[in-house]
Amino acid sequence: MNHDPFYWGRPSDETYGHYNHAIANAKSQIPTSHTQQPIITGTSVLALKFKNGVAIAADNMGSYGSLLRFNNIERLIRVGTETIVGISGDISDLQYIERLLHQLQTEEEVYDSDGGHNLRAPHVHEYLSRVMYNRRLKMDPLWNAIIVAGFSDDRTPFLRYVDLLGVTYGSLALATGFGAHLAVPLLRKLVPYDADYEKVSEEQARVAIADSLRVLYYRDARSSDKYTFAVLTFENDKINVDYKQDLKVENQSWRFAENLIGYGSKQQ
Amino acid sequence: MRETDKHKNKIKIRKESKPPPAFSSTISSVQQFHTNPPRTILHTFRAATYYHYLHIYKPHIHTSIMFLTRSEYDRGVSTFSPEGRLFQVEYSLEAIKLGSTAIGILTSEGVILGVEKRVTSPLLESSSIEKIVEIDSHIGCTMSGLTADARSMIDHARVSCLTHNLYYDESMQVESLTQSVCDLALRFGEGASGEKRLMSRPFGVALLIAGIDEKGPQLYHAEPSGTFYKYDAKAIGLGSEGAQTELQNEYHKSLTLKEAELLALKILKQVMEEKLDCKNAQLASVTKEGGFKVYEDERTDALIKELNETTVDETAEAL
Amino acid sequence: MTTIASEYGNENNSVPIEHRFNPYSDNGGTVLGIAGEDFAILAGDTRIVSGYNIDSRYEPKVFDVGDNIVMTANGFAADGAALIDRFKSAFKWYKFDNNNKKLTIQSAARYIQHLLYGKRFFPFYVSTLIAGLDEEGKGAVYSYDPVGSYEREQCRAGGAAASLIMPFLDNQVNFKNQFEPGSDGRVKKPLRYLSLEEVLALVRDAFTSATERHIQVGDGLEVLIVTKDGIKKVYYPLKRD
Repeated sequence: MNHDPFYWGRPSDETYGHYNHAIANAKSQIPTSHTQQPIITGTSVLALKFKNGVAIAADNMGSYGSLLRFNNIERLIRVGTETIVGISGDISDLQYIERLLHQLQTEEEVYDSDGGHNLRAPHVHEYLSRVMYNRRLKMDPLWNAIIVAGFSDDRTPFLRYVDLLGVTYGSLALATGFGAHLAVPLLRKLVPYDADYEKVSEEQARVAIADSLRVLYYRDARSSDKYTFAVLTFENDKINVDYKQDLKVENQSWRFAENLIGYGSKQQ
Repeated sequence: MRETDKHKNKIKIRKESKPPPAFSSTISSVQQFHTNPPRTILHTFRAATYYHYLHIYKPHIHTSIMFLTRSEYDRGVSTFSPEGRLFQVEYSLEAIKLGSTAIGILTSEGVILGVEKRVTSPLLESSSIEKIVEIDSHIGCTMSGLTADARSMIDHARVSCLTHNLYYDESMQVESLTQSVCDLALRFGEGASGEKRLMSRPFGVALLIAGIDEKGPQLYHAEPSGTFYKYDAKAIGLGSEGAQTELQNEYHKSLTLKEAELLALKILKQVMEEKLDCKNAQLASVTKEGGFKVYEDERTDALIKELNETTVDETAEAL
Repeated sequence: MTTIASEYGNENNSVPIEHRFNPYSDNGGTVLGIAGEDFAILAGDTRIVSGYNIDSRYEPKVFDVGDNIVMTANGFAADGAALIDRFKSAFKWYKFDNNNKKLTIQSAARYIQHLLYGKRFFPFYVSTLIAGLDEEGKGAVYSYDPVGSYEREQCRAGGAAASLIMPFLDNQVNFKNQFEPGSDGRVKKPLRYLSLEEVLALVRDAFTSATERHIQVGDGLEVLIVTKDGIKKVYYPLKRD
């Protein structure tokens, strides 16, 4: 898969060869097919497990190609009382998924009125993975990569990914899009082994995510410095959700930019 | 509204303990029968069906009247009567009682199936009466009732066995096969999960399904009601009452296949009007070694001959 | 008409850029099954990749699917997971429909063929392996192509490094190109069953070597061992580079 934001989700040239534009001009020789591409897109979602919880963040930008189209898109969705779903990729598909998730939450609240909060992150993830895989089967995908953060039934931190192909995996540190290249190495530096997340404190996790967002803001042209950050913790038999919006990427230093050559006006 | 009125009317009649009208429900007439002796032949019939339901059916009561009378619950195949009965299903069980007798006997070596063929004319080619059929190499069945109905059941059974073999590379279990046939038996109504109604009425035929699998030889009786039971020995059809009694007397667990062959023929002989021969009786067996096999006429004849000799011997001994 | 060479040539292209959605991806990883006399193993690395990214270092792909059968489907991870899910639900239905009968590995094998061939024209992009014991208690491994062609084998490697591991297995399990010492290459080394210890050693060698030479293989090795006493899971770390 091509991770270039402009070609995001498309077959990579290395694997499938250069796209043959003649196909697009073909009239009757080959059957017509539905063209699909994301229109307005959200960039990376980052997430990290720590000792007694999970941290997840995403910025608030919606890009139209290289145009900064929206700067007020909320990409972290709360589902139930202890789950956060972070979505990157197409924004209209994001809003559709948001509607599905709210519907799911309503069903849980209305029909499963046993007082317990049984709709947990693993169930939300399983549901989303079925939705995504079934849309792929119809060749009509929801053009997104999603990270579900929350807790398993035994209250251990839960973090799992699903994308437009229905591919799912879990890890101690996850990031979609550009973040998979830039942020994951930074997060893994803090927790090299999957079981190590238990050695990481909430504060360390918060710092690691914030640092990663800053690096992404430096290097990902489709990112913004305004973001939402959710930290879920399980303490004293209680889940606490710290959901903060309109945060700013702090401690920026653009001094490194002076030494950059080869881009824009300053060419050698 | 009209329905409710009718119902009220019925209750009223009962309270006034008048003789019920011809189309009233069964239970009121039964109560009537208990309090007052029946005055009309119609009442007699209702009592008869009621008694039959309790398995103390009295054959001397006029059964032919049965099909002249109707209640509102007779027609819709999937409409319960207020007593909780599905009349069409019950009547389908009656159809089997009109069929020729069929017998199944289980032994440790295998299962024997025996059936009477009604050769109604000397000009009839008896080999065209097919009452014992193969379902798969390890399962066969015999039938009684409207044998034409069995065609679709057997088709379904054969497809089930083949499909199972295709999907799982193994033979289908006898019980699973029986269950699959019985699933079909209920398709005179719509399925709970939107399955289409396949038939206008219940099947009018019962099957004795004999087979062998890793659990050993087995015999099942499948009814049009969709229920099935496992038997050591079972008789169905016109002569089933007498035959079943005889099976109960004669059956024991250590029966050999040979003894079962002779027992099946002996019972057929007892319940049949005509003289027993290979034209009006047919045998089949399911064994571990041979699978399902329908007996050749010569083999059946030889067995009948052997049966007649032993019977003569026994009679002689008794004398 | 002449065109001026420009950086923005692509953007002015008169041919509209159109792409069909590609429903597949390659998530790397490799798997391996070996049958012994009274056991069988199914092993897989735990890495999942997309392109040059390591998406996860521990995402198991070999599963206990019931009745002493283990299964894996390596290649496109979403299809692999879907195939195993489908098999698990078919397994439940088999139990409902057949009076709780034990599903033999031979029947499981045939059924999986139908699962795969059922999607002949939109295939599950996976190499599938199952392992268990046959009705005589002998180890059994069945392998499949993406559209359901299958066969029983003594051993099979699947996935990214299959082409690296399979020749090694041919030589070490089926003794291909091995001859009796002193026979001058005329007498083949006779076949024999390998012990569990020998097999585990081969599996570990196969995976450490594949990790060295294939970028999509590494992180961890999870082996499921099937014997008459049940299924045992063992984990060995692999290099994470």
